[in-house]
Amino acid sequence: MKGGFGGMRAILLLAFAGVVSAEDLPVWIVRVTTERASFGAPSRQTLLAPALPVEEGGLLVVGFALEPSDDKDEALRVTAIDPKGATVPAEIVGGDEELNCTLFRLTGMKPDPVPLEAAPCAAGDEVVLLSRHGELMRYAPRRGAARVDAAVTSPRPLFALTIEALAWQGAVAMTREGKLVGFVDNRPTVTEGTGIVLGLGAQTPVLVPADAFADVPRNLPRKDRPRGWLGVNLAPFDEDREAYFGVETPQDGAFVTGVSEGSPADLAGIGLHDVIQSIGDLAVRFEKMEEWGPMLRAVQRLPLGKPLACRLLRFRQLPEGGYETTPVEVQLTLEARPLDFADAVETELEDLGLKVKPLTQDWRRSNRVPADLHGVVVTRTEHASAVQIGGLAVNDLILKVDDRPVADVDALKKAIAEAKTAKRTKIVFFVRRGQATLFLTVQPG
Amino acid sequence: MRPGPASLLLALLLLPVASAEDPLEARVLAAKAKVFPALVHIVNVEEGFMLGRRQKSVSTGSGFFFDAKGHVVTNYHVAGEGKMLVVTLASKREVEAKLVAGDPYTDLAVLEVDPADAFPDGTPVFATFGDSSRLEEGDFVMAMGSPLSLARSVSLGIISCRERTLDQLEVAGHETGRFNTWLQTDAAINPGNSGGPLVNLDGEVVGVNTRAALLANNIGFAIPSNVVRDVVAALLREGRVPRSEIGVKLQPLGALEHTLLASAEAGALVAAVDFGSPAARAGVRPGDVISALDGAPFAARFEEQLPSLYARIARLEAGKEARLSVRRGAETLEIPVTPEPLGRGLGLEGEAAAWGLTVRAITPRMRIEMGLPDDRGVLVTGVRVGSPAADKLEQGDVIREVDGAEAKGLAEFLDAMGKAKGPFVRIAFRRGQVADVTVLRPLVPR
Repeated sequence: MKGGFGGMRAILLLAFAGVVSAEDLPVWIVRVTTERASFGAPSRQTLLAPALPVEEGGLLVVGFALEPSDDKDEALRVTAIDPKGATVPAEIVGGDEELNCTLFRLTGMKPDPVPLEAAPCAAGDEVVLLSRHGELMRYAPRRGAARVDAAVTSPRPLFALTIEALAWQGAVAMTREGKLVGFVDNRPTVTEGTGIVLGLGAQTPVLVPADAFADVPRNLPRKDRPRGWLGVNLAPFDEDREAYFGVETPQDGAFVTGVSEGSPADLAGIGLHDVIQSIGDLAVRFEKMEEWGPMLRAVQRLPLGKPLACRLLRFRQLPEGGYETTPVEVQLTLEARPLDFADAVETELEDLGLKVKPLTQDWRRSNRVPADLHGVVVTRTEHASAVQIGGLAVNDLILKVDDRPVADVDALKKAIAEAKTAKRTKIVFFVRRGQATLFLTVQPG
Repeated sequence: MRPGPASLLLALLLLPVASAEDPLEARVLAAKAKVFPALVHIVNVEEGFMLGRRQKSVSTGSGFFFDAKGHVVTNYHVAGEGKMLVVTLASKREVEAKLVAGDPYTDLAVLEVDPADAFPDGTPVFATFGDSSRLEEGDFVMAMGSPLSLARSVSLGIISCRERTLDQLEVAGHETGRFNTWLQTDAAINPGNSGGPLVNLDGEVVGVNTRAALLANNIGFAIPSNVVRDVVAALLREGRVPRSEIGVKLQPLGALEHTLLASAEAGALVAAVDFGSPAARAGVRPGDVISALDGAPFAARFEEQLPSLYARIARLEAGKEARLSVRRGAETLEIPVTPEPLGRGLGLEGEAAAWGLTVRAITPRMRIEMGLPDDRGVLVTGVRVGSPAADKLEQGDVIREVDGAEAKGLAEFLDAMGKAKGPFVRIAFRRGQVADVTVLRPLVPR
């Protein structure tokens, strides 16, 4: 522990009027409203959080990690309120669970970003906290102060604050001179190295320096920035898996529990139950589930389309029952990650009350669809629509329409248009539901 | 003068009520008298597997003697897997019974009571089956049994529908009702009535009460007596009902008439063909319309007609080639297909007690429905909290190998787990699309 926690300090909720103006750091508010049907009535929840503009029209919020929702029963509305009180539409880009933050994107505007650089801070310093909780505070940013009680390094510098800062979750912290220091995040425990735990109660307010978030806008998946893709399922190469193969000296690496056919890993010759130890210059370390996120992001950042040396441990079963371990090196060329089902574009066939998405590789895998089957996936059927009355259901895979194969959304549209042109009173859908198939008749119009 | 409240009440009290001379009541009483003495209440102690351990449970239901040998018919879900069975006779005497055989596909089971116990005065008392095909909607029927364990209860109603089809009813993993339609009645049927007789006014058993719709007013279902009679005969003769399958799922053509897929000609639509089944091997495809089986017309326009088609396939001789007449678009094909015996829906279950695991053998039906690549290994059905398997394996995992040797089935798996030596046992398993490995360490290190 680098600084003394030294017992309770005096409450430092100081009035800083005249010391720092609201314009010193442009703190926004992000407002996320979710609405879902609950026992027939809509249930609405609103989340308000302070946000700081960062690069490329993004707003960074600390204190929770949200992902874009693909829950069709949930309506999500995201808006941002600028420092002057104007409301701007926004959307969730993604969350980083390790840093407990979310990046939002403003629609149609890019405010001047605040560089994510942390002003120096040490135990004993006072910081100014800026937040804008609640719409009542819209024109009068809420201010407070806290004293840094301890500086901790695990896995990056953190500063434990006076306990009063608990109420300031997500607040932007700056120096009295108005320079950005970081964000307040309440954490259950704060550990330094191994074994040292700081915390007065269930939560400890922590000041996370701003530079810890510098990579967040770059690392979060973007539609316009392809992520590297290996095409494997990975599990930690932990004590149990080492014991299974009789590995006596602990080894770093990620254990391969599945390889997608035709994926970069498959083409490189990476096999089931290999242990990936390095890819290019990246040493792969995955011993605990907590290491999953950082490892995944590191792999996704590797260059695409360029052969990389990949070191593996490979196990060969011996006739007497044990395993022989052999180091192997293969050449791996990462590709851009294929489109996830969640990110796939949803198409609405309005007059049928039907929404569909293309069959993506991840959906095919998770629903055990054989490689030779092609179709489109039903994502929504409107209440009392023609398709719902006909029996189509969410997650049906439409294989044929009127005996015409439907390989993609365009083929589906074309087949339906043709049926309508021919003035057919019934359209026959051939769908796969679970592991079986069935025919359904839909009466359009 | 308008009638006042007092005169109205009097009028109500003076309304004619049925008396012993009433033909309906007389017939009800006579019918009851014929079947009631054969009615039994059944208490069954059975073994099941729950939360990763073998557990005993008690269930109760109804049944009735149907011959002079002391045979009782009831539902499979009442006693089909019973270990210790006690029946209470109409005389309120309790006697032991043993399971003869059961048929989960129709939810029927036959028990046997020593005739000396069943009929202590030497006079056999048993109910006779009527012809369920002669029933009509509106016919009076009585449900007899032990609703909510209230033994020797009778309720009266009518046949509400004589050929109802019910979707997705499962007993021990089998599609109950696949080979038969159901009688629907408004004679009150409640939990505990299961296995009891549905009786017509001639005192004949026309059905076996089996199901009731929840949150409804008297919507109950019985297995028609003609189905019961055939199944019971097979169970007594062979200990099982031999059935065949070819691996097709059928749909009636009704809704598809006048579409590109189906002409107005009769037939049954093949909706799905099981992977690796006789039909798949023979080249039958989804979308084919089967119009004849071994030359005899084969058609379903409505859902209610499907059970009889499945029953016809089931009656084919396993291993003996049958001929399907099939329309595929403009073509007409004759497709030879060799049926296979219809196996169990769910595999048998067992317990590896020392490791905190219960597992089930994987049947071809399970392989198809779970989308597994093959039927090797065993399915984890439960993991005991705090056991060596806790946090390592989950319900739904498929264990493929134990200590490097393939777990081919339930017996091999249990044997391998029993023989496992060393500080841990090595397990290779599949979880969905993932193929993983782990080790289980005994609670007391060896």
